[in-house]
Amino acid sequence: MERFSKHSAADYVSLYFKFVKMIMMSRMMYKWDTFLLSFSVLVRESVTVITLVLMLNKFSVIDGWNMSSLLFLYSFVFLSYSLSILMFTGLRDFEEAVHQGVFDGYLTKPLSPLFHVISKKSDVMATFGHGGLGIILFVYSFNKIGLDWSLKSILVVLWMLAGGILVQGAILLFCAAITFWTTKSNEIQNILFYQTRGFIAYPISIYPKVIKVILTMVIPLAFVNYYPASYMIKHETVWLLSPVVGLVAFALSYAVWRRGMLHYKSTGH
Amino acid sequence: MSVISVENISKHFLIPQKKKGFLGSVSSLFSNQYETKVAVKDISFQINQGEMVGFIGPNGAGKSTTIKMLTGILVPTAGDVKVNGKVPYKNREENAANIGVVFGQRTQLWWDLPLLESFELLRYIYKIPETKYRTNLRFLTELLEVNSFITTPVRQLSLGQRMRADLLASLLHDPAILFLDEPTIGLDAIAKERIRELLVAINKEKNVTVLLTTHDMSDIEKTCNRMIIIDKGSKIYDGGINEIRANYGESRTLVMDFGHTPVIPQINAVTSIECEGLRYRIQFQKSKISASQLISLLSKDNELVDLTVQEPEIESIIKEIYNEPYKVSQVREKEAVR
Ligand SMILES: Nc1ncnc2c1ncn2[C@@H]1O[C@H](COP(=O)(O)OP(=O)(O)O)[C@@H](O)[C@H]1O
Ligand SMILES: [Mg+2]
Repeated sequence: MERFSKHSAADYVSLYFKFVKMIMMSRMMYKWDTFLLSFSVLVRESVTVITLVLMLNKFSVIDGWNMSSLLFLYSFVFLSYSLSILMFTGLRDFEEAVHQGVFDGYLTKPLSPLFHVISKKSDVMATFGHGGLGIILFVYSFNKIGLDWSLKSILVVLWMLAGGILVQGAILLFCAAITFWTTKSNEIQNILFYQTRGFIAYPISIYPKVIKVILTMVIPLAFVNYYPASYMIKHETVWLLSPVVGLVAFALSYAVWRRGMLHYKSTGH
Repeated sequence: MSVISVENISKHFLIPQKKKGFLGSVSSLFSNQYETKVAVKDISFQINQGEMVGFIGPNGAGKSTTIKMLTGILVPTAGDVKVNGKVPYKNREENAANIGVVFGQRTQLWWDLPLLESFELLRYIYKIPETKYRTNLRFLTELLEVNSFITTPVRQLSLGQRMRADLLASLLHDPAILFLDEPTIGLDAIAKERIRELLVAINKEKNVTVLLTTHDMSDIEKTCNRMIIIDKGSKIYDGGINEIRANYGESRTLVMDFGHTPVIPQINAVTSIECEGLRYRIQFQKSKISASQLISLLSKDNELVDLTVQEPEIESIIKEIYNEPYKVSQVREKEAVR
């Protein structure tokens, strides 16, 4: 029998793009569906933004943040979620993959199961919907604030987005890993990720200290938008470390995932 | 040479006592209130290269759990498993590269894409060299007659076609062993028959060791020469199919065609009677009454047109082994009234 040598990092990169191609081809089978769903996600998310705008007076300022900087803050929520979900839909839907036995199938393949989970799925409708809204808000508020469209600021934005993607990926990975113990994780994910995300629509400086600490140290969603925007608007340089926080969070979640794998019990049907 | 070696494996599932809601799930993470479910109990067997073995047992017997331990999905609670000389869960990827796995209820194919796309991706997942891939694909598409729908999206395939496609997908990398969990589940009779024939052909042509699970005895009768019966997590039989007939086949069926509605006396050795018009299927225990005694009893007052004596169905033998009492069918009660 031939010995199988595990895939190298280069193999994984090329495999990743093969998976991406398969996902895109699948989506192309439903062009209209994809378009309409993306559009309805955009509308749905816009409602929350419009509500915020209507609630606040045009000239009001929250904790030193005026309307355009609030929208700038908000644009990072959408942009980074858009990219996170492009990459990590498999983690978001992990409970389902376990229940339907799909994850069992991954375990019978000569691939890293986490790689398989991540590369197999991508919710491009959410990506387009959140991303579209994010771009609109970002361009509008960027100009309004009077930031400079230089190469440097674009690079800083991308750098900060990378941090936001890693932070959100880390939280989703942590919740997915919980599935190994509890077989259910959607509720935990809903609370730790989706509900908590609600807080970062506003500058976290308005919250009590506990919440600030939680959003910085425990569920570090403040690195998705508050710290990046603080850096860009207020030039607080230290927050350039955002992707480092993301990497550390991801590494910690990965450790939990590895532990969890030993507890995997499949499903009873 | 044994390619699968299983020694005294057990699998216990600890089922946490469920609590509702978020706090419930968090607290169940830390609580130690568990219920232990023994899914597999101290099972051992060896399977040799090229063998075709059927795993049979009722729902919940532990068949899937056993397959999952052999394929590296689950870690056994106790005991040793070796597949191709390796411990599956410790060398998961290496084991995965040398086995093929098909779960009957689900597919590993990309639902919305033409079948061929899934095969192409598998080529990279298993690192199959180009020439080997081409040769295997040509050989298998012909054998499994997949050519006519290889460019069809998987979601448009019939269940039988999809199963053949899944079989093909599991064989592209020349696995030494093929594991099939309920490969005929949900298929109609013709498609079932086709899959059985194909499994035999694959086993012969490629000398692949095949281990399949089923709760349909005909799957095993038509494909395997060895079967392992498990019930409630324990192995209760391991051996040939013909031996089992000799050792356990206590019942026989007498099929009689009568000229008119017969009068049938109460006979203790008879365990069930079914009728279809004037054709009667009378099941009896051969140790209590001989076929000729029974025939003479029944033909005394009735006009007999034709008769045959049937060997027991393996199905009923298995019931016998499970210790399930024969059910006297509905038909008999109606007969008694008439
Ligand atoms: N992941 C699991 N968690 C808890 N119980 C399980 C799990 N998997 C299987 N079981 C239980 O173990 C027993 C054997 O299941 P299984 O191996 O699926 O049986 P079969 O495949 O023979 O129908 C069943 O009672 C089932 O409910
Ligand atoms: Mg099963």
